[in-house]
Formats: sequence, structure tokens, C-alpha cells
Amino acid sequence: MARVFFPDHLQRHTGQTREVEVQASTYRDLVTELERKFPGIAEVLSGKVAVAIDGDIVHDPFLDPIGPGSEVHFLYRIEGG
Amino acid sequence: MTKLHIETEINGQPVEFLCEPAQSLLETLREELNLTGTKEGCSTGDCGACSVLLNGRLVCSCLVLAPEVQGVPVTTIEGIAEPNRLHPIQQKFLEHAALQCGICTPGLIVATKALLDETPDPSEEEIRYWLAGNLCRCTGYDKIIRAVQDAARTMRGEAA
Amino acid sequence: MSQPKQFKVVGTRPIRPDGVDKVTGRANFGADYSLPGMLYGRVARSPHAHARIKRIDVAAALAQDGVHAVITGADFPRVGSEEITGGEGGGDYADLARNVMAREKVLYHGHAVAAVAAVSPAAAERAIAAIAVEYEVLPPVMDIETAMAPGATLLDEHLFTQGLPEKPQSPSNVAQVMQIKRGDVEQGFAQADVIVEEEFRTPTVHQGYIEPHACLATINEGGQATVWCSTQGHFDVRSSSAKVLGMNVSDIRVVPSEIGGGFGGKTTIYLEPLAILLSRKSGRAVKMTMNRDEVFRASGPASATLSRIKIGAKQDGTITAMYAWLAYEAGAFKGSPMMPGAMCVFAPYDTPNFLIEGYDVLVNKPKVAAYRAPGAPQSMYACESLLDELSRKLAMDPIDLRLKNAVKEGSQAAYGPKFNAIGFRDCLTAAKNHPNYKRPLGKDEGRGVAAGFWFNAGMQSSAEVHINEDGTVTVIEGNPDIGGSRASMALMAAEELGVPYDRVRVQVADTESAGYTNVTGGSRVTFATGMAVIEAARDIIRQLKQRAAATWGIEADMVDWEDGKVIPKPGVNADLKPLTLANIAATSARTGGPLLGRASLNARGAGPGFSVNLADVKVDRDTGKVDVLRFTAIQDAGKAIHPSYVEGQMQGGAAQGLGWALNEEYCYDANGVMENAGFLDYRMPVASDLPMIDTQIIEVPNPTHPYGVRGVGETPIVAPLAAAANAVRDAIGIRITTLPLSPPRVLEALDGAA
Repeated sequence: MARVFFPDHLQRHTGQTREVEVQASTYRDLVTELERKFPGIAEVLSGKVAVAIDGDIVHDPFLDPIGPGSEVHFLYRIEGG
Repeated sequence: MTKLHIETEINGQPVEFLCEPAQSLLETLREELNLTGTKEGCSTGDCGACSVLLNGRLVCSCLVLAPEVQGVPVTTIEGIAEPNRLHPIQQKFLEHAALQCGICTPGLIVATKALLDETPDPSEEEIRYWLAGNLCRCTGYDKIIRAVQDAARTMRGEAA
Repeated sequence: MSQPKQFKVVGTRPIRPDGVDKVTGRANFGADYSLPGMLYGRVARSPHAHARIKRIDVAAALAQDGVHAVITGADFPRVGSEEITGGEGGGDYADLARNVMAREKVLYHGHAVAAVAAVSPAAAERAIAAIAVEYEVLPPVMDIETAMAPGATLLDEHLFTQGLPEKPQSPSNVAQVMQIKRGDVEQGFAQADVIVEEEFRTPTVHQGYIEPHACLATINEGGQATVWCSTQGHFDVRSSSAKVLGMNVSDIRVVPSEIGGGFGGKTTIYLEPLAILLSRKSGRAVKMTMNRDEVFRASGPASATLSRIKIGAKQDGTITAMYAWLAYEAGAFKGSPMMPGAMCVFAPYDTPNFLIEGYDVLVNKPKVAAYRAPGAPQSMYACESLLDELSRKLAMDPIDLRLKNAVKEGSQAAYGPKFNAIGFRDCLTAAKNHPNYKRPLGKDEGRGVAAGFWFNAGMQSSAEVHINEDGTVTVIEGNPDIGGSRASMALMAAEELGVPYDRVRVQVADTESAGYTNVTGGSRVTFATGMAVIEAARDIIRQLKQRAAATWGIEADMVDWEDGKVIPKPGVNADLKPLTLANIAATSARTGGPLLGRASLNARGAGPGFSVNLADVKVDRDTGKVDVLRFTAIQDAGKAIHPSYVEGQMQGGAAQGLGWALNEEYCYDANGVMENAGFLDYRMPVASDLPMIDTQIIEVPNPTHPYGVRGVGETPIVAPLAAAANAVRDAIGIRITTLPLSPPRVLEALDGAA
């Protein structure tokens, strides 16, 4: 089961839930599962998103694999200058 | 407005050009003569990116009117190296990684040549104050100073 | 990804491949291009900081001799609201379009209202002076407190604060609010033995690149445009210009010139769409540059901020609670780096309880752009200064205080995920052991310590590796070379391919010749584009092995690659002589065609970069001048591909940070007009202001990069602000909490204490 963490600005879409466990082997499946739990969240996550999967930050995730004990954090997208 | 006809020598070659009376030497070098190695950073004489030598003297070409070079030899970055060879200053800037974006580099090399032609063995403080008129935003000046010191040693014929 | 144990060329310091052109003046920067018959473009700019545009009359300008085209906001298509790919603060294409050319309102002094193309720079100047604009002048809003006050004049009557639990009833100058929290701060403060709290201010500052914005654009009758420009990201220039002008991306080719500094300020567009439109209207190529005055007034400086920080700790130094209230000026349109600033502020520390509140605030100043670790210098200046106060209250060494609370591998970052391998503690220990930490200080001299952090970015890069007929190598990539990146790409390609460094050439190609690549910025090039170059090299190696095996008539899995040659595996025919790149290239037509390796990727796992800086200063009590005596920058680079250019980033960032701390600021008059829009009075560090900058590169490899690379470009600017401020505090016994610590401000503090 992957553990998924929502930052404060996304918690309005999860009924203030901060952390949830999800069964998924790719990020795409993860979002499908999350949509089941929190209808409407897929739309929010379809914008320009960054996630950290086991500490590695990736922009525009989709096919990225999620392991059984993975930690997934949603992040604000940072590019830098 | 009638243009003025100016005759001079640039980088050892005879040159003639037409210019407006109020045109700067910087604009003339870049737009009329296609010598774009000299850069425009501020046009108010504060950044040194436009540094050239007038009769060996270091000036900001943005503060020189083009007509002023009538009969006065000009040296730009394009005239620092011998044909197909780098000047020791240029070589040392490369070896010491004394440039990152490179925009201030032509002005700094011209300014350094003026310094070392006058003061072959400058102290670190002398180098820093001489080059205070050349802004660099990338390097923090450290590697530039080291390159100048090393170039000075080479030009004095000393071993590295 | 495997990591070679011993590097052959990576880690050495060869001369950069583009160096000779840069020391001889041959390299072409943005303003160095010309086309026959080209016109010169100039922009007419608002004389007011805040006004409604009633009427623009361009007739007089158009009638002038030598004027070929005039454009205003009316010449642009409507651009709908759409989030911009990239940027730190929810930037929007509709806002970008309004920023490059005002529509209904002007929102800062210098805001573009029209542009002309004429036969000479002088003719263009005369033309813009003849453009008549009728304004309804409005009160300017010039600082955070004024902008946030109830009843404040609004910049945008349709802007409602995002991020609140319910949509607000009335519009506001606050574009967005956000919060990050963990645990219970109130409880955390209740547990503390010592609490410190303070308010800090930082001014508007500019990236200060020496090369002003410049471009040359031409568009033909079929609507195909070519733009040569100085930019950190030519693919972004293409996509943003296409959006603003309503053009197809494929109809704009952008050729990046060499770039004379960017630091984040050249990751957006200003002149390019104007030049394309003027070229379309005039039928000629149009060259446009900003002068230095325009760069200050009308490009994208960095946010001024107001921060309130509170930290609680036990007597032994363990932090129990951290609180930050951070307000960032966005300028004329929403999108300050408030979010990354908030995510960074406490990032180096492991604390169970914190609350961070952030505000993105509109003011009548130019729209801010990124500046090297956007948002972090401002917020971390505040936190690192307050930690210095805490260390004094606890009578604890400031490095020890940080070591006590420092994050390490496995710590949960304040912004969410667990850290993988990081080098913060290594940097702290190195600082503590550095000889500069022990040097004795004299009268009116002081020492300051501070930490720095930046996430570093990955994102998308493409690369090709071509093996030429003689076995030399050409690398094609798409990142403008701001600081020596061609050298690093060449080193990585040479390392993989086992060829000498000087047999590799690197081309920074335009948008039609390189695969899509994100900006040169975000400390990403050596990491992400380096990764692509290595993968492209590995791709070509696979092909070289296949070609050699085919030449020998054996299976591809019976050969190895070693030291730049294909050899038969042990036990396979020992009579087969190794084949070099040159050998295989010479017969490539026979074995399948030209040798081309490629890679395109979305790099993940950019390793965060930590730093620790030591600053020693001397304060002149008569003049208030602060001299920097010594500066030590220690930073984790993961793996330094070309150490000289890594050191260069550390030294350059230190100089910018010191300028931010000691002298740089935008000064405004009562009408919202900048008073010091030139290098004389916007005082950046010059050679005589600084000592040699000592550097120490720490290498805690980043496991996601084949060579362990971490980005290094941005972290260096973060710590110097507090390092300098803490050093001044140490020297004079007074903490000044508004930057810059310029002579008048220092004197005021000294007089106040007397």
C-alpha cells in the first residue's frame, strides 16, 4: 500500500484528510484510486503538478511506478531561476 | 542632419566611417563597423562592458562621441590578440575560468591590458581598484583577479 | 543508474569549448545580430505607476519620417486565462500578455503601452515621444502593508484571493494565501524554554545581469517567424510568444544567442512578441533592445518581502516550534515566489511543530520574475537571522544549534517528502572545522553563519550524440550556456565514450534543431541535460557495439565497451582487434547508416542542495560602511563535473547575496517612480568591494544521477543575506532587521543605540 500525503492547500478536496493509504502500481492508477475516495480530485491533479515519490521529485507524473511501501507527496511545482 | 566623415585607426588598421555628431563611439563600433565584441551594458559609463583603449588609454566608449576618435587610434577586444594567437590575458582568463556568461569579458580584458601595460606587477588591491569600473555579476571577481595576477606573471616572463 | 567509481575526465578543469570566442569578442549575444534592412524597435512606456488608459493616439508617430510601424495593445489577440508552464507563483498567460503590452490599465511606471519600428534608434526614440496617451491617474500602491490594508486601492477589481476556505465577497490585492503546517505550534511554543520573534524586511532587488534584454525578429509573408534573442529558455520564448500572439508554435523558430546573465530574469518574455508583431506590420526585420533604465523599470525584479518569524527551543537547543508569516510582493500581476519561499524557510530543520502562512500581494511595481532560488533568500534570511538570535540567547555556538536540529537522510522535509541522501550536516561540520571559522576578529569586526537550501529542478531535456566520420563527437543540446555548461556536457560525453575531452564539441541548438528542453535555470542543466547527454552517449554505445559485432559477424552480446573501444568479450575470438569510434564510424554506411545516439527525458529526483556560509565583516562606525573581510561558501554539489564552474556558481551567488544584504534596493518616490534606475545608484558589488571568496565543495552523491550530480546554481544566493546580517550584528551588537544594511541604515542604528 502506498502512503499518500496531501499538503494543506489540497486538503480542501479531501475533507481535510492529510494522509491516506492507496493500492496502486503507477501514478495514473493512484489518481484513479484517489478519485474514488475523493471525487473531483482528479481534475485538481490534472493541472501542472509535481509529486515526490519516495523523495524523488518529478514534474508531470503519469506512468511513474509506485512501489508497495512508497511515500507519495503532492507538491507545489517549483522551477527556479 | 549631415553626417561627419571620420578617419582613424582601429586595431592597427586604417578605418573611415560616417556618423551623426551625437553618436557614441560604442554605437558606431557596433552598428556601423560591425565590431560587436564591445558590449553595451548601461550606456552611462557605469559598467565598463564597452571599454576600449584610445591611444592606449582606457575609456568607456559609451561616453566617447564618435567624432572624437578622428586621428586617435582605437583598440577594441578584437585587436587584443595577435592574428590566430591568444594574448596571455585571454589565455589566463580561460585557464582560470574567469568568465561564466562572458558579457563583461571583453571589457575586462581591455581594462586588464591597460592596467598591465602601465603597472606590470600590480598588487591584489591595485587590480581590484583598477577593475572596479568593470561590473561582473556572475563570478564574484575571485577568478578574474587570479587570472589577472597569473597573466601579469606570464607577461613579466616569470614561471607560473 | 550505474556510477563509475573512478572518473577519467569528470572532475578535471579543462578550458570550456566556447571560451575562445568569448575572450576574443566573437561570441554573439542578443544585441549582436543584424539583418539587411532591419529596423530598430523602441517601446513607449507609462509615466505613471497606476492609471487607466483612456486613449492612445499614434497618428503623429506614424507620420514621422522613417517610422514603419506602430503597435499598441489593440494589435494583440485576446489571451484567455491559462496557467503558464513553469514559474513559481501560478503565472498566467493572460497576465503575461498584459505585461508585455498594457491593455486597459498601466500597473507600474515603465509599463509598455506602445511600440514603434523605425530606420534608426534615434528615429524610433523620436517616434515614441510623439505617441500621445491619455491617462486617468490612480493612486499607486507601493508596499505590502498599504496593499493589504482594508479599503486599499485595487490593482485588479476582478481579483479575488485564492486559497481561502470560502471565496471572498470582495476583490483584493492579495492574490493568494497558503499555509503549511505540522503538529501543533501553540503546544510547541508552550514547551519551549526560550522563544525569539522578530519582523524582517527585504527590498525589491534586480538580478543585475550585465546584458540588457535584446532580440532580433523577422517574420515572412507566410507567417513564419525567426527570433534571435538572449534568453535562458528559447523553447519557452517560443511557447509564450505563440500564446501571446495567437500563433502556432511551429511557426516561430527561436535561436538562442549567447546570454549575458539571466539568474532567472530571462526565463520570461518582454520584447520578443513586440518585435515579431512590428516585423509583421512593417515587413522588415526588427531589432529591439532595452536600455539599462528600462531593464530596471520594466523587466522582472525580485519580490520585496515582509516576514514575521517566531522560534521556540529547549535550553539544550532542540527546536520545539517554528512559525512564519511571509508576505511577498508580486508586482503588477499575481505570481510571486511566495510558495517556494514558504516551502524553504524551515527546510533545513527537523521540527515537530510548525505553521507557515504565505501571502502573494499585488503592488504597482514591475511583475516580479525569478531570481536564483526564488523566494528562498528572502524567507531564509529571516529564519537564519532569528536562529542567530536564538543561539545568542541559548549561549550556544550557531553551528552547533543548527547541527542539533539539522535534517538528514530520512528526515521529513518541511515541504513534505522524506529526504534521500543530503549533505547539510556535512556542510555544517565542514564549516565548523574550516580554518576561517577560527580566525581572530578585531575591533568592530564580526562573524556570521547561515544555512542555505534549494530544491533544484529536473524537468525535460533532450540530447543527441553524433559520432563523426573521424571518430570525433558532436553533442546537440538545447540549453543556453550561462555558466560553462557546454564544458560539463563535453566532460560527461567524453567520460561515457572514453574519448579525449577536446574531441567533443557541444552545440546549443535552436528550437528547430534540438529536441524540446526546459530552461537553463532551476539548477537543472548539469543534472537533467547532463543525464540526457549521458543517456544519449549510452544509446550510441549500444549501437556501436551492434555495428562492431556485425562487422565481426558475431552476436552483439559477445562484445564489451571499454575505454572508447569495442572489444570481444573474454573467451570470444581473441584475434579480433578492438574497434575505436573512428573505425566504426568509417564503415557506418555499411553497417546501417550514420551514428546518432539520442535521449529525451523528464528527469526525476533532482537532489536538494544545502550550503553553509561564513561571513566576516568590519563596520566603520563613522560612515556605516560594511566591508566584507572574508567569505567562505561551503556547498554540497553531489559530484562536481567541472569544479571551476561549480566554484564559480558559489562565488557568483555569494556576491549577489552580499549585494542584496549590503547595498542593493529599489528606491521609489511618492509617485511610485524608481529613483535609482542605473548602476551608479543601484549599487551592485564591484571588484574592490569583495575579498577572495573561499569555497569548499562537499560531495554527497545524488543517487538518481549517473554521476551523482546535484544542481548548484541557485543555493549559493540564499545564505549570504543572513551570513552578512549576522556578521554585522556580531560586529556592532545591534540587529538591523531591514535590508540592505547600507551605510545610512547602519549609521541610523548606531545613532539610535548611542
